[in-house]
Amino acid sequence: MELTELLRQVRQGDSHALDLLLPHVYKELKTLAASQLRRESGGPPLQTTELVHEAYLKLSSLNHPDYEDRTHFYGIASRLMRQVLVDLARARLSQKRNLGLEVSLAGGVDLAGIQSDDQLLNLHEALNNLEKEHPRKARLIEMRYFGGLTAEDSAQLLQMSVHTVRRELRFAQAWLKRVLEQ
Amino acid sequence: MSNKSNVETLFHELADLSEKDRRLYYERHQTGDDVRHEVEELIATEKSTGTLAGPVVNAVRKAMADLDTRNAPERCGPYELKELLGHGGMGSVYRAERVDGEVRIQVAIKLIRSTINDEATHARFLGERQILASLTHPNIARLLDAGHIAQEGGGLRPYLVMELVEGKTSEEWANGRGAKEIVELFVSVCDAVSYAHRQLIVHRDLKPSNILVTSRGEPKLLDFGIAKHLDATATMTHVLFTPAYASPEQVSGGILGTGSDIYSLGAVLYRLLTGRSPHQFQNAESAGIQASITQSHPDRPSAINPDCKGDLDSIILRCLRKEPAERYASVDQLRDDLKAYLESRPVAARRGESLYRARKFLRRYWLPVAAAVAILLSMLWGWTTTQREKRIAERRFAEVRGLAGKLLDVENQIRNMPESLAVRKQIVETVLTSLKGLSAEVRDDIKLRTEVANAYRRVAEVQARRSQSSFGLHQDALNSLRNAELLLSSIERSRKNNSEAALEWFYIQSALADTLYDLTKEEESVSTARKNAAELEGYLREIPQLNDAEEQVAIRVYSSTARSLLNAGYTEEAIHYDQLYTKATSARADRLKTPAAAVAAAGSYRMLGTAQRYGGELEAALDSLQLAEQRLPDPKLEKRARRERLEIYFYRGIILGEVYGLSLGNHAEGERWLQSMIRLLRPMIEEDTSDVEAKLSLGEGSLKLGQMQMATNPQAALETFDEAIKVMKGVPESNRYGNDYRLRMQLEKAVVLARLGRYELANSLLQGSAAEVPGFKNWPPKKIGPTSLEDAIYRAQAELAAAAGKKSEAVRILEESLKALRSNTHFNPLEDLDNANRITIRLERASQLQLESGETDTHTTERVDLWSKWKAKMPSNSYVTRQMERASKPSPN
Repeated sequence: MELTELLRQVRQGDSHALDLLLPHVYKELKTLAASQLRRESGGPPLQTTELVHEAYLKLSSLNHPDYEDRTHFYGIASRLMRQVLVDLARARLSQKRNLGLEVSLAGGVDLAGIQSDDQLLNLHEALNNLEKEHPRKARLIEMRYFGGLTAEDSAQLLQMSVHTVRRELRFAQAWLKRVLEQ
Repeated sequence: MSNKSNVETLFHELADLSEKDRRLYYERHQTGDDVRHEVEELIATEKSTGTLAGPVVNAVRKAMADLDTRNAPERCGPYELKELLGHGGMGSVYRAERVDGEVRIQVAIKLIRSTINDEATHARFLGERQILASLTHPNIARLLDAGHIAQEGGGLRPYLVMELVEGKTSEEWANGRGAKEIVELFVSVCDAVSYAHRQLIVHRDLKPSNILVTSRGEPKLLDFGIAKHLDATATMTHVLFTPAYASPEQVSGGILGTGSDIYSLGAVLYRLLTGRSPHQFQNAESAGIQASITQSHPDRPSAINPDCKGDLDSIILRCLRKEPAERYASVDQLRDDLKAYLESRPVAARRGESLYRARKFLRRYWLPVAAAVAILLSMLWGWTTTQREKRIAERRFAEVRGLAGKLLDVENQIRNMPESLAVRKQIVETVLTSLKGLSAEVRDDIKLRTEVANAYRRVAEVQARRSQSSFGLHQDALNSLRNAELLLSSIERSRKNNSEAALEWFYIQSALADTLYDLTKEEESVSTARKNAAELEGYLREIPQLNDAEEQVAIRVYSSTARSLLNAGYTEEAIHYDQLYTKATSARADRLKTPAAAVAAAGSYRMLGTAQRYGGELEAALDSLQLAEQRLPDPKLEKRARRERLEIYFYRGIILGEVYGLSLGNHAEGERWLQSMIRLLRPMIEEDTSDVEAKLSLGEGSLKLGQMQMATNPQAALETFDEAIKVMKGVPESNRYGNDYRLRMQLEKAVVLARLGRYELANSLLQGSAAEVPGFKNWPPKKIGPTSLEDAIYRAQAELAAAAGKKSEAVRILEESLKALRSNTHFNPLEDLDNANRITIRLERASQLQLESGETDTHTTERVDLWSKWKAKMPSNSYVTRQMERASKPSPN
């Protein structure tokens, strides 16, 4: 399928190919966001990895996806996943705010729901700020939390040592938590 | 360096250091306040519990729910979907209604996410459905129907129609309920699972949210067999399960049987009782989860909920064993044990525990042990016939040596297992036989001599181990050490030549000094220790920086020398070596920064404190104990820190308030520390009933505590003694300390009873206890030691007489004991402060009794005389000063 070809072009720095690729991925991720998720708990890497993994399987007709392509795809998908989740959260929030009166008349505002949407948007915002100071670290966080990439995956993708990835992740996590808890 | 990267660098450098170390770092590097503040904030937030993952997980869940709702059909076959009840990993559950003529039937419909794309899978789906529909049990939600709807893009989307259960999840229900109530519910859960197992259906995804509790308090199990059912339909090889409750075989893709459900039941019960899952995974990746479930052992449930202590701990942990064969053989057995717990009958899981440990040990070690023993024996058999062929002999030599070493390692690993005694005896015998053979072959090879000597010393350690009573063979240990000594005595041992042999020699000499002391050959022990320490000081002189091996030797030699000297009454000298000892351990702890080294340093300060106490420097001793405590690492990190803390509390307690030893006379404070110590000991003994060391500590602590309580609160003293005597009876008889503490406490107890007016009981307890002391056969003894059991008998006799009003008789007994003490050549109150103290207590008591009965006080003069001599010797010692003042103070009567 064309995905492999597109990925190769993206890797070679063809920004046009990326433009072509993204809508595919976005659409698949969005429809997939639910359909194949199987595990109930266990943290984001499990959940998001599966989502992204399934998206990849759907997009790719390869029986034996080679590692580099897959990792590369995850790298892109993690950004998209973030975008999908943020879009959905924004949509939910605006819907709830528009319906505010109705909801409060009904007597039950889903406060917990609104809160966690806010939290996601705060994380998104903080991540944007991190990006300004430490772009690579922001990318690592994105890959980890939204793409479910392991430190080894990220290291391979960004051509860094695993040790450095772990260190940068650790610092970035503390940095983000500090911003979010202030 | 810019501020930004500076913060980052500092964060990585300091994040794992203690607050104190970080402060030192900032001061040393004169870090600016801004940077320092930012780094500290980062470190603090890193440790906070908040998580970045939470919002993402929630967002993914909601994304799924959004899409589910958006894609939900209005009908599934004849069922009308009414209301979304929840989302799960497999799909969403709806309340639905079937209109059947006039009757509206409420059902739950589970709409599965994955689609069926081929005929074969579809056929399997329908077949499985029949089996599930046959499950009819009051505690299992029935499967009523199943079907599928056509997907837009092709393929079929299956759904399951189930009995609608209104209720709470078991986790919500269990919140705030007592253990018994939860276990009662769980018995019904087991009934249901057992029923299904008899129909050969395994649940495979038992978890709190799959066990609902109705308003009548009845459990209902959902989703029976669905995991397997759906597996058949899954297009991908993913396995369906919930990690928190999945068995090891499940996460590692093994064969799933009823044992997997038993594991999950244990995990669910764990959760219901403690609010926590047996394994915690934060941000874990699949590999981490798998490793955690298959390798790490969960905390005992009672660590979180103390109500689980004992039976429930055992039952749950038995369910959670890694090997299915080690769990309950059936759910019925688990159910029976839960019933037994509810009815307070003995629980099978506990009976099996020590056997389980033994099996685990044997599986791990039996084969290597048996094989090594057999090989060693066969090699020794052929020893003499082959020794002519030098090369073969050399190879054999190396093999035997290696095996002997390995066996000793095994012995060390299994030493705390009560079942291992026979194996350990066999190991020691085998190793000794082989060492004997090796000794004959070493000739002039210094390296070999050193190695064999080292092996002999290790055998001696095994033979001499104090708490492992059945092995307390000090004479055998002495023989082994003499053999080791012999191997090295004739060769040159210097730092330049044969440094290994030299260091080994120091170790052997220290071990000799220790063993000689254990054999009560005090003088020999002291002279060996002195000579050894002097040689070592010579050896280490002019070495600017000790290497690791030298540091370790120094620690060993100084500590054992100090101990020997202190035991023999050479207090000043002992303090000197203890100071060298603390210096060596502190240097090592500062260099290595490991918890183990920190514990060793703490131990050395505690030893120094003990020696200072005997020198009458009580305040300095308390300071040393303070230093010891500061050195102590977190007991959670290092198990030995727990024991060391106990020792520190003990010595602090007795220095503050011991009745018959050198102390500041502050009984209330002393009691407080000893009680803290005993509070720490009790759970240790409960946890491991074979922990002899802990039992002995409890005995020693209780003896001193009871003595402090006797004067002010005899009832508390009785309780303290009774409880500890019971524990001492659980110490193997061959352990002399266990008996010793028990007899002493019985004698003290007799005194308390007599003072409470129960003379007969007191007297028979005294007679019975005294009869167990060998020296009582030829009473009165010609001479006694100041801390001997005979002395304790004298004291008890005198106090019993005094309590019965026979005060002159009491004085006579005290005088007799003083005479026996003075006949002891080791007893020297003018040289030994502790001896002076002990004699003073007796003289004071005699004076007091004389005055009470209207006689002339004939003992105060001696007391004044004794302490004026000490005062001349140690004019500034505060203990001596206090005693002097006390002696010369006119008596209140």
